[in-house]
Amino acid sequence: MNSSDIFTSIIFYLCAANVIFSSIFTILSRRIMHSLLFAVILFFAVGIIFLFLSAEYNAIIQIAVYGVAIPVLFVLAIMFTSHRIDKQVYLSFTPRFIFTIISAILFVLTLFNILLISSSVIEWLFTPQSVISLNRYEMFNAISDGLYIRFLLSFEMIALLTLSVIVGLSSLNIFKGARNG
Amino acid sequence: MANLIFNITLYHYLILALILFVIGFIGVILVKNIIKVLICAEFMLTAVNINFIAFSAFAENNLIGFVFAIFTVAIGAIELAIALAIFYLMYRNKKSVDINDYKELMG
Repeated sequence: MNSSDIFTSIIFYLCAANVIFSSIFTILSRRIMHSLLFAVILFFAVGIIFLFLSAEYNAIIQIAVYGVAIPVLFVLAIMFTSHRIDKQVYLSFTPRFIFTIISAILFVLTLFNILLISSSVIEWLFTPQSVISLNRYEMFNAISDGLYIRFLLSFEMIALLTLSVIVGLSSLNIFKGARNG
Repeated sequence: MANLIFNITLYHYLILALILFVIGFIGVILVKNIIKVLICAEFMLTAVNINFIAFSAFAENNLIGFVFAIFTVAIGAIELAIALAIFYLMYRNKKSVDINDYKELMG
C-alpha cells in the first residue's frame, strides 16, 4: 500500500461523507432552497466519485445534467411556487413514518444479506481496485460502441421520448392557457 | 484492517449507494414538500447510477454499465421535467406544495 492509495481513499471517504450528510441535510432543511443547494453539493460529490471509477464521461454528464441543468428546473419551480409556504411544509411524522423506517431497515438487511452471500461466492468482488485497463482512446471507442451501435435503438427512443415530452408539455400549457383565457 | 480501510473495493461503492438509496426512499415517503420529494427521487436514481458504474468498473473491461448510466440520466431528466410540469399545473389549482393536499390523486 503506497501513499497514493491512502490519499485516494481519504478523498473517497470525504466525498462519501459529503454525499451522506448532504442527502440528510436535504431532507432536514427547513428552507427548500437550502435543500436544493445541498442536493447540488451531493451531485457534484457523486461526479467526483465517478472519477474514481474511471468514468470520466459519466462524471461530466453527472455534473452537467444533475449538477447544473436539473437545479435550474428546480429553481424555476421553487420561484413559481414556494413564496409563502416555505417554512410550513416540513417532515410528516404520521403512521407512515413507522412504515417507512421498517421498510428501510428490511431493505438494508436484505441487501446486506445479499452482499454477504455474494462475498463468499464470487471471488472477483474482492478485487481491491478497479480493473479497467483501457487507455483513453479505447475507452472512447467502447463508450461510442455502446452509444451508437449496441444501444442505438434505445437512445433513439429516448430522443423521441424527449421530443414528445417537449411537444406535450408545451401543448399542455397552450391548451390550459386557452381554456383559462 | 488498514488494508480494508485504504483499499477501496466494490463493497465501499455498493454500501454508499445503498445508504443514498435508503435516504432517498425515506425522503420520498416522509417529506411533505413535493419539490423535496422529487429531489429525493433523484437521489434514488443517483444511487442506481453509482451501482451501475461500480459494477461496470469492477468487471473485466465491460463498459455496458457506463452506457446504461447515461441512459438512466436521460430518463431521470425527462421524468423530472414531466413531474415538475404536472406539479405546476396542479399547483395552479390548489396553491399548495403540501403533498397531503393532493389526496384525491390516490383514487
